[in-house]
Amino acid sequence: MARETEAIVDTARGHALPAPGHEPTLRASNRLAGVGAGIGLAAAVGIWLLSLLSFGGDLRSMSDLGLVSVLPPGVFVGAGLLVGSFCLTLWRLPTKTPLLAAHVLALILMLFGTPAVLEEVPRFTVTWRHIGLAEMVARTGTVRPDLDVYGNWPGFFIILGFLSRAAGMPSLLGLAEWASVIFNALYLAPLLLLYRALAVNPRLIWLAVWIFYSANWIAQDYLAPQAFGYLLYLTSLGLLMHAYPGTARRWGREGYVAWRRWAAPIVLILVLVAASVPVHQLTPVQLTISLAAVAVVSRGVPRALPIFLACTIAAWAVFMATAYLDGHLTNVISDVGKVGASVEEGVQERVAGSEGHLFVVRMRLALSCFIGLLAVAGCVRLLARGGTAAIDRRLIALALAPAVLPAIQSYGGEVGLRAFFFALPALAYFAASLFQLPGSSTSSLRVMAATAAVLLVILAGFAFARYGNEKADFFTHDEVRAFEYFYDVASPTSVLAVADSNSSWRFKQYEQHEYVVANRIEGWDEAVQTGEWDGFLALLAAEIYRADASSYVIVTRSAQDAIELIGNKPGSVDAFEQALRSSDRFRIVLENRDALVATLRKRS
Amino acid sequence: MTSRGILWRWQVLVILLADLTLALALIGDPSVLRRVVVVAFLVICPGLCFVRLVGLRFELLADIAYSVTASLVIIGIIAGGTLYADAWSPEDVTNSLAALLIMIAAASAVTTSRGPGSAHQGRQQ
Repeated sequence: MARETEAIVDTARGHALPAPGHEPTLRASNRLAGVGAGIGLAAAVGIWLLSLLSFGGDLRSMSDLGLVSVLPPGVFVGAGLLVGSFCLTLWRLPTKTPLLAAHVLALILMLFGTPAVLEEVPRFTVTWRHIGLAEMVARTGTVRPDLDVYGNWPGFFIILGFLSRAAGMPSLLGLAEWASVIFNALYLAPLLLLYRALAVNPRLIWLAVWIFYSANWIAQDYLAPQAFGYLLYLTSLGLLMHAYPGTARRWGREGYVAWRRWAAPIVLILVLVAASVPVHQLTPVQLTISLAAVAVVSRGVPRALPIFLACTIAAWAVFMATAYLDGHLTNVISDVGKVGASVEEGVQERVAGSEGHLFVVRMRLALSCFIGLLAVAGCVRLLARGGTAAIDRRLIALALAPAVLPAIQSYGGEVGLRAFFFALPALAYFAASLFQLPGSSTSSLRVMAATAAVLLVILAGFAFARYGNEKADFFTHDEVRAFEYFYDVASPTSVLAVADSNSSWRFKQYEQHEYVVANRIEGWDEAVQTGEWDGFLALLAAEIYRADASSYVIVTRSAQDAIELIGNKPGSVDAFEQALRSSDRFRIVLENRDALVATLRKRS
Repeated sequence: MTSRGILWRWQVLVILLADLTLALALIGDPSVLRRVVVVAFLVICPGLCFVRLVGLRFELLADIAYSVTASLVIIGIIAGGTLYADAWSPEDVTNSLAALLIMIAAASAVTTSRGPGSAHQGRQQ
């Protein structure tokens, strides 16, 4: 009787299992579909890879719409084929985990590996800084909390530094290029564990996984502490769901046998949540909120878990992050409760820039809203089919818990993006619940076609949203050579100034130099407005002059493109470059297609 | 493959990678092979031992993924400990870790080989 009740609830949750005898029928009648799915998968990856390897275009010609504007058509054909092949596998074949897993791994490769194949060096200015921090840790065996915020939460850089030194890796550039693919592949296991604790229909699980990846445009999965923090976040929640299926456990003779089942994951969860604290500032806070939310709605989950994590966060802040909090505590506390300001900073201030960039920003908002709407519709469908019993309260808790974040921190205007990212696993599951999957009489080829269409729409949105800033995010060998030149000739006290912080810099000798961003020096705006650069160059020269060492200014293509993209005084970097060329204070020492290096002339 | 055979796999993998790591360190080989072996050892073996010893069991793919996550956490704890203790020496720590994991895996393998009813088998319940 109990089993029957569970079956009814499972069916109502959209977890309907195929009717007895249905799977063999599928197997017999769809051998052709299996061959088709296999060929489709191979063809999709093959076409994608060949079109990227044979790419003859110039990434510098990219428009403000981002990578989409230069991608060869084969990439889109490959992605379309993969969607078709995945839906065919999902609808027309008996559930075969290896084939579905292969589709998802191919999706991860296509979505997150495209820049690694196409671009010359790792993308994102922050990636280069992270490489520099890891290099510093590997070389010196120290962290520097006094330098910047990274030194106060150095866990990820210590791991990277340890790995690179132990393995004798000369550089982390290769790892940085493929970091997004690696992290997303690592997210797969905890995602599956999380979803398997909620659903019994493997088709629903794999569709949710697919939606998670194709909606993950936030780009927090590069070589960064938050990417590793997110892995710990997903793993902790996955293990928690696995260890506590939602019913209260009783202690007794039978309980002792079961002890190992829940104690082992709890040991691992405790280690994981504690390990997230030195890695990143925001992730453990969200993990605490999510654990608390799950503990409130689920009787079996130990309520001491979020309390333990909150105490660990507080202890780390008090004992290990004082260097940062000394100067920033007021800023951190002042954000608490200001939801409106956080949202305004996160949304309104980002809707600015060139027309192409504005389109990209709107696509990001539209894609996020679309996923949110699909999730709400999925919830409504579950409610309509099975009432409140059809919805797992823990999943609702995981979807809503990140909404608390904007009330705590604006996080430099990024908190909305981060909240969406933290909610994405739950949103993707609810979105997947919207679709009528095989196993019931109402599922049909038309539903399959409609699902494929929705997945294609999400992928189209992803292409714009994820890689819409690529014009500024990608770097070239020539740009890196300019910075390599600086690191080769610089003395420890040399100062390096760049036109804009969007540069592939600080990947070496992180702690040894002083770094200056020219367009943050007072006088830049006035020089841009008036076109009179002499006064500004005098200010810049005074800022970077050191009696005992040469200092340098580097102007790069990516700095120019970043400023053009966000509409912050377009053409200003070009004007700055011209002023440097004609100035008698500076001397050009290196110039190539994408970069210019100038140094201060020696004072007589 | 018998259940005992499956149990043996992880011990063989750990001992193999740890031995290779130690051998390449002794030779002082700076090649790409050493990098691959040491990275593979560090990102798989500590976590695999931990996950197995606390008694977690998943599918093969999930086992590997959890081992990688747990390994990174363990490396973080060890590396952070040595860094804050002013004893930063990743090469020496890696070699010591390899030796330690060989012993743990070998001890586990011996316990497993005693057959059903042994202490190790009891822990797998």
